[in-house]
Amino acid sequence: MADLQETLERILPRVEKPARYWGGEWNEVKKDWNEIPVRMVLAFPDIYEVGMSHLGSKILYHVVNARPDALLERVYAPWVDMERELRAAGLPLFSLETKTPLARFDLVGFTLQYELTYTNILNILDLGGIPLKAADRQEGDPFVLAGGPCAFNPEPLAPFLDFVVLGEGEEVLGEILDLFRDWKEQGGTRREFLEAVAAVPGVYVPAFYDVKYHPDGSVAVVEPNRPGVAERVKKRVVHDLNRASFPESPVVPFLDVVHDRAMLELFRGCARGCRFCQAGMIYRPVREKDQETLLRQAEKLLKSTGYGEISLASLSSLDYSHIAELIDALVDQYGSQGIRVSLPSLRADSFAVEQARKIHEVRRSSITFAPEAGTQRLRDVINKNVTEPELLAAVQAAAEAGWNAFKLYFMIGLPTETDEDVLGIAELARKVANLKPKEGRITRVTVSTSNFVPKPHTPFQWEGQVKREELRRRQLLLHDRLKGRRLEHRWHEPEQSFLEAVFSKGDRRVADALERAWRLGCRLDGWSEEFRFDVWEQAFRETGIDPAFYANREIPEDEVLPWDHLDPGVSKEFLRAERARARRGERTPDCSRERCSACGVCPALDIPIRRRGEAR
Amino acid sequence: MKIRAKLAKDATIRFISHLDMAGALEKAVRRAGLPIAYSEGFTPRPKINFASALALGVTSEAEYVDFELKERISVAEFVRRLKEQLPRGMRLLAAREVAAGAPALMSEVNAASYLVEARLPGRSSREIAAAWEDFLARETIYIFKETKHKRRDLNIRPLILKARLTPRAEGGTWELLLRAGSTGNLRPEEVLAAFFAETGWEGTVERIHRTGLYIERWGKLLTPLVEPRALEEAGENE
Ligand code: SF4
Repeated sequence: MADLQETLERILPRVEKPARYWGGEWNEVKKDWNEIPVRMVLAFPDIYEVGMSHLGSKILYHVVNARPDALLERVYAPWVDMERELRAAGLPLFSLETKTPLARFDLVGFTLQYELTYTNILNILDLGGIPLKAADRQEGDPFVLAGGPCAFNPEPLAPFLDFVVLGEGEEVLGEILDLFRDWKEQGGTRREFLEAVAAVPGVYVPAFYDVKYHPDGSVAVVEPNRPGVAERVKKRVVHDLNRASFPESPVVPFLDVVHDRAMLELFRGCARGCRFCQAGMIYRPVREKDQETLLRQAEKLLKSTGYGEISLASLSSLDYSHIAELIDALVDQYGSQGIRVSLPSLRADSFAVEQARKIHEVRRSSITFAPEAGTQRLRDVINKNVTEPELLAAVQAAAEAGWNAFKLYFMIGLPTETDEDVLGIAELARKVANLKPKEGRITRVTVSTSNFVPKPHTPFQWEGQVKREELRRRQLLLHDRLKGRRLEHRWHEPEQSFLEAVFSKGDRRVADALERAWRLGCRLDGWSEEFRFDVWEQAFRETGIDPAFYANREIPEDEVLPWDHLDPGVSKEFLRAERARARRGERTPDCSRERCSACGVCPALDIPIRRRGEAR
Repeated sequence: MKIRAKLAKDATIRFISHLDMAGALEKAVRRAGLPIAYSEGFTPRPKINFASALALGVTSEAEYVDFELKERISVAEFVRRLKEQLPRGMRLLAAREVAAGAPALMSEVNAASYLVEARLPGRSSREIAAAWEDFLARETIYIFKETKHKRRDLNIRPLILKARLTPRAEGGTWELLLRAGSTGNLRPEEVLAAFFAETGWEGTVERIHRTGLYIERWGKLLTPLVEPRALEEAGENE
């Protein structure tokens, strides 16, 4: 690829942060292309700095590259300047490691973390020289697969994907690569491989299912169109994380990425049961690593990377059963070497503040809590089990420990929300700002409000999103009340949240609008400076798709959902029951601490039910 | 103790910014388990100080860095351990101990030498040589310089300490010795830009390579690693 290399060197000086496209970082794995039979590229559909901060990608990079018969390289969405240069030079998008154009790989795997990256997927395929539609790919073209949280409703991307992997990838990807290697050796057809891979548990081949619609536009049925294909595809999980493959030597970027630190995953899953939270549902059940495993992994990670910070990265890290001991051990061992321990998020209680106090010797940044809703009533609806006295006590404790800037996260537009709930946010913020700590002081309280997006496989999957104008009215209502000394309000524009809802709950027909929007120039939609809602509106108009049908319509519970054939293990009955409990304002306890709430996932995946810290 | 090292930044990492290179070096030091000292204060930083920043895209065989260590360690040991941990494209060329109280490199270094490759399409070797001679013969060469704080016209002629051009058809190689540091800092691309502006020619700078950093004192050029002892200890020639 001498030509590519030369052209690349000519264009890179003209783009912002050329290191995004250059590779060569510490711990990069660069294998001999000609020696390896199975060649895959992991495509992260956002820019390098975001993709390099993603733990799941690091795990897969390690899992595949540990195999002698396979290689996994990386590619990220190019920023607009680089796309312009690539297109002007007629250069295909290439992998970072060997600078190989994507079309030359056997497999191109996307991770779906966020709906507003979908246009980047089309852009990456197009720039990589790969036919957009699975149906148009020929023998010799790569297979395009996807996984990640949004893969639990991949329908809006269905025409572009050859297959989809549900759940945790580290084991099932190995099975897929075995299958691929054998198929390649034997020289089969594309169809044959897809048929074989469809039989792997956890793999979904969209083309093997037909969707029928009712005249009113709702889904009538999604069914296999050939024998031997599962009616429902169940997700895959790793049963014992202590024995799971772990990336001891992750790539250390040169660039200052979003999370530029070692990431130690304490456990998977979260059982707090917040009813709006998709991660809380699809990553169940909770599976912890032992403390010895964690300390061993921390040591290896720090040694191999040289990071000055180790982050305890899990959905709600402080829920780890031995969290206090773990933090003590890490601080003890690494504090004197100038290595910090950090927590990505805090729950609002004094125990949390106590832990944070131990590790943030220096209260340099602000401290964040996420009450999510402004009144107790609404917090009960969403099952966010934090009370006002708990929150105030936590803030008080944090202020006395030396923090003086506070961030509070809330959502606007939650089911059953009234103006009283919205104004409750302002009241709560004011109470926080007016606290009188015995020592220290509160100088700033930043309220950050996002817009609620209903997500598949959650108790709120049937809900319609509040209309944009109404979301804006509520945001402004709150904004007016949040004026005052020490108070600050940040909020998200409803348009991006609206689009997120469309793609989160969309069916296969939405794919046309996606492709149209991309052809009209939409990309990097998650970046507000690039987001062009007017173009999206045009794309919906031109393809005759009503986005409100997907985003704002409340779906009757007996209607077939576009994602009903994809099974995260949590039963639909449980989600229905949770929705009913939400309506009644009834809480559901954390099943990893109290009793099992019968969501169905443990029996479905053959995992014994046990509470945190109970012996295996 | 303080160890001063000389590093190369090769073409393979020329797209890494100076700040990112400093970050990478910091991580390499931690991987090597070197007893680096940390600054006091709210965000303790390892005490690793570069002599001078290098612009994105520029390669170098003369990056000088001071490392402050909280325990004594032999220079040979330092070199051995750090070398193993340097990312591809960063090479440790030499090192020696300097006095703990030695002045900061940043404040001492006041000249830098470069090799610059530039293209001037359509110009003959002779034309280029003649124009360059005229250019250098001027007493004043003004450029417009804009920094964060001020905009001003600057006479750069006194900042060009030495210059040698090897012309060829449609381009040439410039060896430049330029004033650097707080007493006046001139970048090689600024010199070439001034030359292009002066001649009205369309030129492009193809490659810039830093060949040396110097402490100019009493009309003599010293490198920050002058003592011969250092060369033996590091096992490499300066
Ligand atoms: S089956 Fe029970 S224990 Fe298992 S995740 Fe669901 S609620 Fe929790």
